[in-house]
Amino acid sequence: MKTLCCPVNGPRDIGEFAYGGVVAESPAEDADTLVWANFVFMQDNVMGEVIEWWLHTPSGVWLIAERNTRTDTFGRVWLAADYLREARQANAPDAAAGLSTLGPEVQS
Amino acid sequence: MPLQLLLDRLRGPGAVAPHFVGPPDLKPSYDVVIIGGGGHGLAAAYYLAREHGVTNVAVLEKGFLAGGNTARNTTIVRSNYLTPDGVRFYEASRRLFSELSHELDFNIMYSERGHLTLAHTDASLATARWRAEVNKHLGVDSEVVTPEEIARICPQINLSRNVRYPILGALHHPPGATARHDAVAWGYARRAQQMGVEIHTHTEVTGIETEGGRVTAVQTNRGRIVCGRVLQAVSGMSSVVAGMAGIRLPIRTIPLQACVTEPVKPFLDTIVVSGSLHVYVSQSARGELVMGGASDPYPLYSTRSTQEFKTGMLGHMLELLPFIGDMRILRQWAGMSDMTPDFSPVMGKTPVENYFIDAGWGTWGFKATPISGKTMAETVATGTPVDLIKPFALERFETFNQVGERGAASVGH
Repeated sequence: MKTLCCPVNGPRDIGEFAYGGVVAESPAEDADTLVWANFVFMQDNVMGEVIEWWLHTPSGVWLIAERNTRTDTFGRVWLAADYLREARQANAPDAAAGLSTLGPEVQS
Repeated sequence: MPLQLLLDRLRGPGAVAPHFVGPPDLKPSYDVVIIGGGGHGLAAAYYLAREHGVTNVAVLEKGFLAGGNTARNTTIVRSNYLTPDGVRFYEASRRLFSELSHELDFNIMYSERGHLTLAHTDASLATARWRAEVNKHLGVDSEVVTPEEIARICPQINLSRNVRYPILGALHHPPGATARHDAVAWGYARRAQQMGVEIHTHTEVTGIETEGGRVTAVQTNRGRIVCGRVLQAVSGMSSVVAGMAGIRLPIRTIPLQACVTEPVKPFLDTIVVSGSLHVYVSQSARGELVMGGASDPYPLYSTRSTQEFKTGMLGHMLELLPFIGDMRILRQWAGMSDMTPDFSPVMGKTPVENYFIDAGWGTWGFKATPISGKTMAETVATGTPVDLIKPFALERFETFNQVGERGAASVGH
């Protein structure tokens, strides 16, 4: 049985989680419609390492996790709030660049 | 013809001409390079040669012939879609399918079975009614039927009210059919090859060279090929291959799993689908029950199978056909599906001028094999998308003209 390690609930069956898409910075509210269309519909659809949103549905906890889309294995997992705070503190141009600044206490 | 088989056998190896002969080496250039040697690519090669006289064509396949999603689908052909664009397109495909054995002189084992899409809720019954009316308007044989009529059409279905999701009715589509998936690809490949098309298996495209918005050459593990036009037809890997040409697609690659039981004598003529229960089943010519469900819950570039799929799908299947509880699973597999947001394909031109695409085939690609080949061949030959595929252009996501087929395409393959 495949599991994902939630920082709050520990390792749980993957069936308890809902997929929330790849972490990506959304365009400005007043951005061009074309920019929004690209953001909403177009996908990088990466074969390899990605960073994605996951929801632990029974507890309502939002997570952000590394995953390899070729091997279906998870890497590091963060509470969404932790990940976003660290990314913001790192003032990363894109959210993924903030990863390296995370401390061990939020690792799975 | 058992006697013929016996005679061929007695004559020893080599007595029967093989269906395909491997071409020698890659030529340095071709008028058209087709990336992907599955049903769609091979059909396009066939129609390019037959209807447009374009025979300086190479089909490049990274594995063996038709070993990708052409080998992994569940072989259902139907045209009872939801949108007029979709219905017209899939009906044209179904018509081509019904004559394909004759056209290719190759038995594709086309078998009209009738297709039932069961409705377990008022909402799904309303969708069935909607589909039936759109279908009939466009000349497609579809009708909403009551549980009593379902009992007559397919008495094997458990119509008890004493189940979790009782059946309220169904969309009945008498022309629904199955065909031998491999034979479709083999038939197209054989005839295309007879007309001069080269089919190169174990030839993987590793790069695409562009210059001034035009593709000039493709790089492969067997060398570089200069090409006039390129058609990409690689389900599952569409984003990766299009990425080599700098094209981004509205596609997520998500596995779709399926399985078959051990073979038994023929007992289930109808193809049965339930969108609410996320299952579908038909009996193959070999006697196996071919069963599948919804695509996986998240994207993945893998064809692994999971226990969750089997327990979930078979739990529902036992409610529909309780007597299969003693049967054993013989084989299971998965295919990588190009899922688009509107459950319709991406066909036609791309931002790269002479690079054409046939992608986004999600869980509905096999039934479109002949018409995709035919329309893409014409599009590649003339440089202009034909009317039938204009609604499926890549630009529809920028102009908000999606072709919403979720109600007819998901689960119901």
